Amino acid sequence: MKAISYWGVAASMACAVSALGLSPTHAQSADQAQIIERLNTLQAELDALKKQLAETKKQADQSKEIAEKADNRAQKVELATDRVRANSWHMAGYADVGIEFSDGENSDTFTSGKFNPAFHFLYKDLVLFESEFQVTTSNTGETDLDLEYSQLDFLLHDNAVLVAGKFLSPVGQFQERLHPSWINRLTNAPAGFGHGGVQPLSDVGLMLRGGIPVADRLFTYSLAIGNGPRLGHDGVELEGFGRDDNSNKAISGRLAFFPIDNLEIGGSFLYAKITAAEDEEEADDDHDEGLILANEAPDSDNLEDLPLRDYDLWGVDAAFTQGSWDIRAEYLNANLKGLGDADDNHGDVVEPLSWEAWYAQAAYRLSGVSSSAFMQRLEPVVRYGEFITGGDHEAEEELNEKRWNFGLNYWVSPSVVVKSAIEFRNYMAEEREDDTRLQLQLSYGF
Amino acid sequence: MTKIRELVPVAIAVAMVSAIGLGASAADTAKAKADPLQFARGAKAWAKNCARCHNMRNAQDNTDEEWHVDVLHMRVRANIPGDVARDIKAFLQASNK
Ligand code: HEC
Repeated sequence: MKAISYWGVAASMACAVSALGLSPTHAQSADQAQIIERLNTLQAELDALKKQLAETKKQADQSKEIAEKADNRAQKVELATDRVRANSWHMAGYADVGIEFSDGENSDTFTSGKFNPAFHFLYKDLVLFESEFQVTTSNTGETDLDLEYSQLDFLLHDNAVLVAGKFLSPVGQFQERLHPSWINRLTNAPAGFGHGGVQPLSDVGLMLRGGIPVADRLFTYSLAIGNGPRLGHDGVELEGFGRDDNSNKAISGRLAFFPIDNLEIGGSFLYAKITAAEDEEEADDDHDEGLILANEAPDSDNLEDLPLRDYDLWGVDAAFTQGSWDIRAEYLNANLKGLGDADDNHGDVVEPLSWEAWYAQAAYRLSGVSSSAFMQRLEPVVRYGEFITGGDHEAEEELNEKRWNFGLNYWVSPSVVVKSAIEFRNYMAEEREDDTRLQLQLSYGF
Repeated sequence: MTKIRELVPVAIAVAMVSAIGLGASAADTAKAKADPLQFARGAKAWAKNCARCHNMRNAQDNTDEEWHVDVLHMRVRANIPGDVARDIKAFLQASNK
């Protein structure tokens, strides 16, 4: 009996133990399922995050690509606009239109004005080519095309530039610096300056020019050697000619310095030999001498045989510019020697000719005077000048004058201006009536 | 005597032309160095030189390339020394943006 109970105890213990062993096994598998489930969710979340991250990365890459592209494009644009090429160029120039009312011999007229395109090409820092045309409509309606200048500037040294070709004359201030209508503060040139005046307009040849600092001050020089002036139908024509009519070259130039920063004082000169003219009307006459000389254009057939006449010119100029003030003055004096001896009455005497012109001009921009934007753009200007020729009666009658100009300018921009002015011409010849002109002009420098 | 006088212009012309060669070789070797004071010098020189003949033009009127050409144009016309012109150019090119 006892044995059975042992077996019974053993069996029940075995059951209990196995039950013990079984029940944790059961509990364990339930937990695992939970963990697996959680793991799965985590995995899913991780996958989702990974996907999101990939997405974000893709987007970031795309954005980066776009940004890079934009940057490239920006750089390209910047390069395109701001790159300075070895061969660089620039176009500039000016144009103007106007109207003039006159109470003298001239009729009221619209002035078609000028169109002056200018081209500048620069190769490295070595040579600059600059050229300007002048397109105008003549009084009779034709279109005139003139070459104002066409020159190569060799940049030799910081203090020296060699100019070759046709250049504006360095003599005085007006022609080289002030004549473009967006710079000139009145609608026309002073009497004796510009075409038909004393101031040389241009020359063909070579010019050496530059600025040299001495202590704290600047000295400038422009020295030219060129074909020089000729006698033409209107007396001495001070323009650049494509060929010289005599082997003597004209020497001209200007030297200037700045005693103070705002004041420039200059002196100019021109020396030339001018081929004397043969008077065509009387040349056929059976004069013993064969040649009759006059103050007119020479006959082109036998230029080499004609005598040469000395022409010399000198001038001084000054410019003061400070703040709203622009004050200038210029004086020129020229002489053409006569020919023959006035004491022998052979008739082949040519009178000497002389020219003298000067002006003084002051302009004041009202920018500091008023708070009104309109007023600040206004600029009153006054100029007085005289032009006196001697030796040729006709020229004296036609040209000798005293001239007052009063103007009021409205500056739309630094190079766009509307000018209005009144001009009083007082001709010195007794029989000529004085002339008053009202002038309007719009000029645009570009 | 006249012959000698006629030779003077020729001599001047030859001297000027041969100077071109010298200038060309010198200009090539002058390399620009970065210079922090150039802008300030340029601004000062611009104010001093560029309103002598006409109104001061706006820096924004021109691109860098146009100023590169135009400042040289003005250097020739106004007899401005080369180093001063380079300062003015640097100033205008930095002020036109
Ligand atoms: C000596 C007088 C003078 C000075 C000084 C001068 N200019 Fe000029 N400038 C001129 C003249 C004359 C013109 C017109 C050129 C032409 O039409 O032939 C001009 C034209 C210009 C133009 C129009 C484009 C062109 O080249 O025609 C700009 C821009 C200009 N100047 C900028 C300057 C700057 C910048 C400076 C200073 C470095 C300067 N100028 C100093 C006389 C001067």
